[in-house]
Amino acid sequence: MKKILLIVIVMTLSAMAYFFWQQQNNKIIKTTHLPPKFKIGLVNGCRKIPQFINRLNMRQPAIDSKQQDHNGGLLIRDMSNNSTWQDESWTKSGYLAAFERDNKGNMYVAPLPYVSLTLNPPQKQNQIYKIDTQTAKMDLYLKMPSSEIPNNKNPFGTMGLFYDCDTNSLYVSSVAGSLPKQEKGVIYQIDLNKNKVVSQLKHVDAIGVGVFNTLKGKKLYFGSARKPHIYSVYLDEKGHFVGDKNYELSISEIQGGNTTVAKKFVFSRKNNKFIMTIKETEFGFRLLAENNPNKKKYHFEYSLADDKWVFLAFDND
Amino acid sequence: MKYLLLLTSLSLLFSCSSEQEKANQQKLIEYSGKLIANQDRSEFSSIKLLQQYKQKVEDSLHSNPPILLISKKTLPDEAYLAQQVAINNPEFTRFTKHPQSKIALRNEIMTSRKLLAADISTNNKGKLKGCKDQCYRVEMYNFFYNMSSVAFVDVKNKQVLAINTYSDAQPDLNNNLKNIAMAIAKNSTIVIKEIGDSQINPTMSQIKTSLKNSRCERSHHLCVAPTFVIGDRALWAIVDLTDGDLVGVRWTELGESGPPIEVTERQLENEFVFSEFCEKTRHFSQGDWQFDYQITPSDGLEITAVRFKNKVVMNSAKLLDWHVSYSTREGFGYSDAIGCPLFSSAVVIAYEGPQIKKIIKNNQELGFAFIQDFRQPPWPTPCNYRYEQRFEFYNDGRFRVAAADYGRGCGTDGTYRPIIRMDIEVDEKSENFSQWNGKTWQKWQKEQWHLQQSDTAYTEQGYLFKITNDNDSGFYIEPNRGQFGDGSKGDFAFSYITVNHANKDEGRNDMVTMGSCCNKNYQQGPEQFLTPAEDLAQQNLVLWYVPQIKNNGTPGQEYCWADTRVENGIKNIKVWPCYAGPMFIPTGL
Repeated sequence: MKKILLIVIVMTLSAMAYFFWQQQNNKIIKTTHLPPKFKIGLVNGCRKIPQFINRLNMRQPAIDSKQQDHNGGLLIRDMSNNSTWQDESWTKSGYLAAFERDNKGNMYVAPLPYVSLTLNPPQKQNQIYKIDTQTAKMDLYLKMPSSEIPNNKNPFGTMGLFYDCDTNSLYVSSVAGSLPKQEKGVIYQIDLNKNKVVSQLKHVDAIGVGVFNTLKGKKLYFGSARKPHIYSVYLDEKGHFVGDKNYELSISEIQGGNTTVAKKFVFSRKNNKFIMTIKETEFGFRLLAENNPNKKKYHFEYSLADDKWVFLAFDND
Repeated sequence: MKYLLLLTSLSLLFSCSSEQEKANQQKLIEYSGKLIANQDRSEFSSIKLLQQYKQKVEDSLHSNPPILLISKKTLPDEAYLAQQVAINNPEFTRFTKHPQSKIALRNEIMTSRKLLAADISTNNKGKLKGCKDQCYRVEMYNFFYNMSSVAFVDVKNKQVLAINTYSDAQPDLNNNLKNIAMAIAKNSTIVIKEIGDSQINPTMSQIKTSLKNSRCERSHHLCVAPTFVIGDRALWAIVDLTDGDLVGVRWTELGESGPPIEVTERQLENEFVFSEFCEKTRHFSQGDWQFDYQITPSDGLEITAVRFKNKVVMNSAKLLDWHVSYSTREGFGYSDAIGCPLFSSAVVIAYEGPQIKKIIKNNQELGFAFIQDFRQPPWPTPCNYRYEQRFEFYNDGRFRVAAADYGRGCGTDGTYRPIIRMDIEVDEKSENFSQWNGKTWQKWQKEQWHLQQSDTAYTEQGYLFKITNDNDSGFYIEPNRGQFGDGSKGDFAFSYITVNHANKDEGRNDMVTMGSCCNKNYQQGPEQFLTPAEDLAQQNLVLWYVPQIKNNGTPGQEYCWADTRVENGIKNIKVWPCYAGPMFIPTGL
């Protein structure tokens, strides 16, 4: 009798394990069943120019995050006469890694130490700031929900930003707390309606992030902070992470490519073709002083036939 | 398994090291692991293939245009003709000489072959429209610029149809260079040590070898990696074909799938320095001196527990920051932290471990220098920096804590201020600090600072301060006024004395930031520890020393400067370092 009971328990547990395994698989497979309004292509076309920029009456306004020859932070530069404008609150972020706009013209900024930690103390690196589209005022928007605090051996926190109009989500990569032999980085999905993190991809040290709607579903691409490799992960209809990361390509494998890492993804549409541009940087979990004259941008074209990015060319960044 | 690395073989002085010194060296450089960074770059000079190649390179620098060609014997007639047509095209040979000096640069043809379908792109499609069997692709590599030029040649009409140039790009190697790369790898003692004597010979059958792509991202040299596959592991031997030597080797596992594995110069150097000098504290001893050392995240190389004849004379010495300011641009400059190449808050990093050099004066060996180099990867291009920490230890008990800048910075109006912290040990509890006022030694009563100026008074021997115990034993401190024979022009230093608190961290641990880059006065960072000024009586003390060094880029007067020159057709960096730092002379010890 006891043996029969034991067999029944084992069979029941096996059946439950199989059920949950199937459920997990179904969740991944579901990504290929696309939502009704799903459109292949760009996901950030709804981003607006901030209202305060319009009021500056600049002839050719550009958002300048290169932070060279000034004391850090974002600048609005009039390309027609090279004049610049900066709200006094923008120095809060110190030097910065990335900026992004949303569908209302609000801007989001991720801090990043540059040359020294004077303007970017480690304890203030794992957070992002928001610049209000109307007032141009910068305020702390969100501290990443992590117990890891940047320090002198890894002074980095938030790194890359990307906005997805479909889900009104901001994706933020962070490498806070990562160790030489331990990837403790996280990519966060922030729901901008709820102003909170709603999904996380853990154990991933990433810098650049970018979202694109592929043939098989919504994907987030990211550049590893440790290798010249690009990975992707599927997102569901709410923009949540689904399944594991997949290796896509390596910029060092490109003829003439470098052993650098991808710091930024830009998706665009030219002549009815989707183009992915990857900007590179040299990163080694130490302070950056980006002045490499041979920095490159790599351009890829999306192949609808086989759902892959095909290398086109590179040029100087 | 343990490997030995001769870190100091670059120094000719070391070629005549005694056995004892060799043993000391081995203590310094012994390490275990899978990484090997090779520093013995003279072992390949006997390779005949390399000797012949170097002669051909030298001959090519005297030819016009200065290009080493693929020999006629090894090319089909049409391919050779394509090579000839290409090198007679002025556009193709545009970069074969230095644009200003017109000095010949080192160039070499790597390929001359028939055009393949894959060679035709949207960029050259129009120009190559009529190409059938008569079109060739000729690739040339420029070793000075690390640049590739490609000519598309119509041999029937003896015409160059298109030319493309690729900066910071390396083409596939010609057969001669492939053979040289293999020869260097096979003759390397560290490769032989790794895969075994019996198996490393050209006739081996059980080991597959192949040539993998690799990069020398820092030297911008032409590099390739002959790879020895043994079982499920591969040994990568990175060969530098610009210099004709081995950069280093590394084992990797052979994965069946997944992202590509690549081993490069930067990766090898970073991992080597990080694992051997950042993650470990090492011990060094030579003669009567011994100490521990470690490269820190942002305070440079720190030496600790420094002993002379078994007596501790210095608990710690390190360099926290280099402040760089520019006189013509108010508030413009940098606070450069030096330290580990990975997982650190340094911006100017170590590429290799410490080196040791003998100090010789009038043919007499007086002691040794323990030297650590730090560079910003694109140095010496503008706005990039290279620094050195130099600790000198003399047989008579003197020691010097010095630092040097190697340029090149953002202009000729720069002033460098290294922030040096020294915890000299003359007594655990009661140390006295005195200054020579021109007549007598005057004891400092409270924490304070001092600026060394043109009217500063020194003793006859050149001493300015002394740090002693209650028995007046300790060290005289002799600031640098250009008397140390290293080309220096003086320190003009701020000196600060602070109380060494056991329960308060005032710079003992790694400090992320230390003052502003651009202050021209005493406010360089250490002043934060002497406000409010504490009594010095019955205290253990810390000396902070901040020299001020003005650079000069004027030809003939260069100081804290570096420049790129052409030598044997490749880049040679000429440096004019500026040294700073005080000497400590024992008294009554």
